[in-house]
Parts: sequence; structure tokens; C-alpha cells
Amino acid sequence: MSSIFSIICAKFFQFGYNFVPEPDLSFVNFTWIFKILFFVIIFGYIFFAFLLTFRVRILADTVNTPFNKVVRAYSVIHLVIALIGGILALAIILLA
Amino acid sequence: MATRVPKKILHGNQSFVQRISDTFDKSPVTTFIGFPQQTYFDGQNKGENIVLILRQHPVTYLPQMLFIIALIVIVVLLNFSWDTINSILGVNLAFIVGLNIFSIILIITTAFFSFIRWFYTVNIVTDERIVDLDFNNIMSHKYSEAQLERLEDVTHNVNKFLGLVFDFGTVVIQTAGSKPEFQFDNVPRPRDVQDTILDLLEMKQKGQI
Repeated sequence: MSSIFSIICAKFFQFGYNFVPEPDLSFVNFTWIFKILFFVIIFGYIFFAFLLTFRVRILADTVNTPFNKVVRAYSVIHLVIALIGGILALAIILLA
Repeated sequence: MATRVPKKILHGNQSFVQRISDTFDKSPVTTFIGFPQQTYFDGQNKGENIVLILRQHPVTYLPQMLFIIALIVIVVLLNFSWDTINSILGVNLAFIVGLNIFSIILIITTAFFSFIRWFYTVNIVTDERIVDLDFNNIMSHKYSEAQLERLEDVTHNVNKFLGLVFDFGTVVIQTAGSKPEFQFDNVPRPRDVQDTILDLLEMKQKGQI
């Protein structure tokens, strides 16, 4: 019995040998961390673009200048660019 | 000039009309406009004339401009050094393409948001009241106004280096209302703004407007 225990102890303290099985973390790398991070950031960005469009609509009603129509058009164009660009960037990053 | 300035203000014979006359034909997308055409605000009375529209001097948006330039530089550097990034982080070309697209739309949004903040942070002086519209952030904006007869004291200060160079400052207006102080931040030609408000106040007290 004591000989078995001594063998186990010897194996345990043997340099470069470990009895405790290590979890396989090979799938966790920088790319996946970046992907999750970008998913959150791009989602927040698209939400911000929507808020900006709504805010422009309210402010354009508050102060009405001849340039307001252009600003409203710009805000819609910006929203479209943000939506298409955001979804495209997200898709490419997630599939990369 | 006569076509732009209402008769009741011309009859008052005040100095401010001459002082701001060079801004009459300015585009609506500028910082200092006297007697703007086709411009209205929420709650404007019939027969009420807008005398001044003020926005912050563009130099006050220097940090935003620098941020946009920094973003562009980062994107360019990222494209030139993606081989190095790939060797360190192990990301592929598609990831870099996605990052590029996101960076470009982020630059567009930052520029557009800065413009909208500047365009809708506006101060209005009419022959009846002053209006202060502050667009601070995406979640909130503030709209305050005070009747001319409630104004008590108008001061201006130019105390920043950039304000000294580009001639802009802050006009502080004390009122008797619930909001005791109005501030027109970083507006160009603060002396002319102060003179205009005080002249309008004088005309109001004399019953000319």
C-alpha cells in the first residue's frame, strides 16, 4: 500500500506531470473575445443612430430653419448607412 | 436692410441694427445671423420678429474634430499594419474588413452627431423674448425662454485663449424668473449680442416694440 502511495506521490511531484485534467480552452481566443465585444458595440451603435434620428425630428420641429429639410434628409441617410454598415460589419466580423 | 428689419425696430433708431447689419445675408448654417428669413421656433407669436440667431463658434468643437482625425489615422494605421496584428492576435482578413467598415461608419456618425449638436444648440433673441436651446447629449435637450421685460442684467466675458483669438465668449443674462440665469455659451461677437439685448430691452421699456 505504502509503495503505491509513494508511487502516486512521486508521479504527482514529478516535473512536468499533472494529475488534475486541464479544461480544453482552445476555443477561447482573442478573436472570440473581439467578436462578442463588437457585437455589443455595434448593437449599441445602431441604437444610437436610431436615437439620433428621433432627436433630429424633435429638434427640427422646435427650431424651423430653411436648412431643416436637408438636416432631416441627412439624418435618414445616416440611419440607413448606420444600419447597413453596422449589420454588414457585424456579419463579416461574426463569420470571420 | 430696410426690407429685413421690421419698421417698429427701425423706428427705434438703436445702434445694434447697424452693428449686426453685416450678418443679414448669411446662410442659415452659420453662427451669427441677424434678422434671419424663413426661420421660426416653437411657440413664436404672430408678429414676433427674430432679431438674432446664435450658435457656438466652430472652434469649440475642436476636440470632436481631433477625435475624428484620430479615428481616421487609426483606420489608416490599422490597414497598413494588419500583417503585424494578424501575427500577434491571430485575426484574419475578413475581421479586418469588418473592423474597417465599422470604423468608417463610426467616423461618419461622430462627424454627423457633432454637426447636429452644433446646429441645434441655438440661442434666439426676438423682440419679445430670449430662447436658449441646449442639445447636450443624445438622451436630452433643454429649451428655456424668458420674456425681455424679465431680464435684469446682461454681461459678457471672453476669458479663454481661443475666445481671444477667434472673438467668441459667453453672454450671461440675469432674469427675474424661475431660471435666474441664461447663458449663451461660446457665441461669436459677444459685445454685439449684449448690445442687441440691452437695446431691445430699452425699446421694450419705452414701449417701442
